[in-house]
Amino acid sequence: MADGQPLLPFLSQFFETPTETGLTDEPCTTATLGTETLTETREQSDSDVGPAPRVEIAAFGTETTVRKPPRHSDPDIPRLVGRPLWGARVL
Amino acid sequence: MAPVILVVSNAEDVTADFFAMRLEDAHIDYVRLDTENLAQQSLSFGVGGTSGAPAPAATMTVLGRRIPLDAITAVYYRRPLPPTFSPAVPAPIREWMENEVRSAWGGTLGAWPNIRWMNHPLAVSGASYKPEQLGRAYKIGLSVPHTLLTTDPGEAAAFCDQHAGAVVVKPVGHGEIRGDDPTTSQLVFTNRLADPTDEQLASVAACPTLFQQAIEKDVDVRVTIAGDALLAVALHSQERTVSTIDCRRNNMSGMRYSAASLPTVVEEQLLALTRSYGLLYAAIDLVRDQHDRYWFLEINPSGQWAWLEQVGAARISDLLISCLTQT
Repeated sequence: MADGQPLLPFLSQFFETPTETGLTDEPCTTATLGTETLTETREQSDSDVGPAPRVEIAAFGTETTVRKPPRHSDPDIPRLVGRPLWGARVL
Repeated sequence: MAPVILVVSNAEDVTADFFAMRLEDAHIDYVRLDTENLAQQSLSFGVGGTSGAPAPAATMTVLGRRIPLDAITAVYYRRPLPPTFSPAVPAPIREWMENEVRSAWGGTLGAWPNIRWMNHPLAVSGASYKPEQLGRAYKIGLSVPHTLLTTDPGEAAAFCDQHAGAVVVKPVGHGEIRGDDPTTSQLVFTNRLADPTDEQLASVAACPTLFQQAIEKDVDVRVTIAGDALLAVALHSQERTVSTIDCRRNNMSGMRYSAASLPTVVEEQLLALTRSYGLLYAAIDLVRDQHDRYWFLEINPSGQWAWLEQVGAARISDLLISCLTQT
């Protein structure tokens, strides 16, 4: 690389920190959706105790990733059959 | 054989959760396959031989449910993640196993006949590059803002001069700079350029940068396509300062929505664009300017839609279900 060549992209002057600006890509309604889904699960699974999980939407654009806390990673927790892992009844 | 819809995504995808609930509401049989758990599911596929005996039926077993692949009539494919393995497996072997799992599942399911994909991974991949999208849309006849993608500071300066300061810059791919954890991630939106100096523009050499003619917006428009159905919603982004340049800012809080009616020729062009990629579903971002002209910004093969349904702007899940259950 030649001496003096810039290292950072032009767009770096527009980088923003979500926690400072309150910005996320996905409308907050989706966060509400997540909460509703989680709430529904909590009500229907006795094994699911503790504070309501926090839903964070931390990604952006068309490649949005919605970060939710991991669940059902414990093999002792009943698995959902033919159901979304975050919704509906536990069999 | 009772038909089944396969919902392929990841366990953290709330839009897939939302869609799954809609499928349940419609009493449609479906199976959710979260691809990070792929290695824990079962797959069986056979072919060939000389004995004349038929190969055993191809099946998959997901969360304990065994499904013949022939029963799968449609796949709703959103945002898969790589399969995961125990950290006790050495990293190079994990990497190899990941590729084996992806090749096995993708090579079997992706080529299985008579499945309606929304959308097929290969179609998603083909439609995921903004420069190509803009060129294709322009050839189809859609209005595309004058765009320059460059690493040449001189070309960037000339472009900005040509448009006399009415220029926006945006990422070519996505706008998230992922940190080690969500608290250290950063975002970059579409931003309006005020009169950049040569010193600032020198950094264009460090990374390709997309410059685009700024359109004086009336509204942003999100178009959802599912098969032959098209639904347009206007986002009244110009009613609040925060969202005038990029409607996604501030979480779209307070955004007003209304149904939009596109000119027939624009609808036909958007449907042609979507079909040209082999996509059954697409979320397309347009801008309607102050002279009622519609400008194409991008097509998102895995674009979000559930929020529009939640704010009451459009019942998109009905379109998706109707499209996926067509025979």
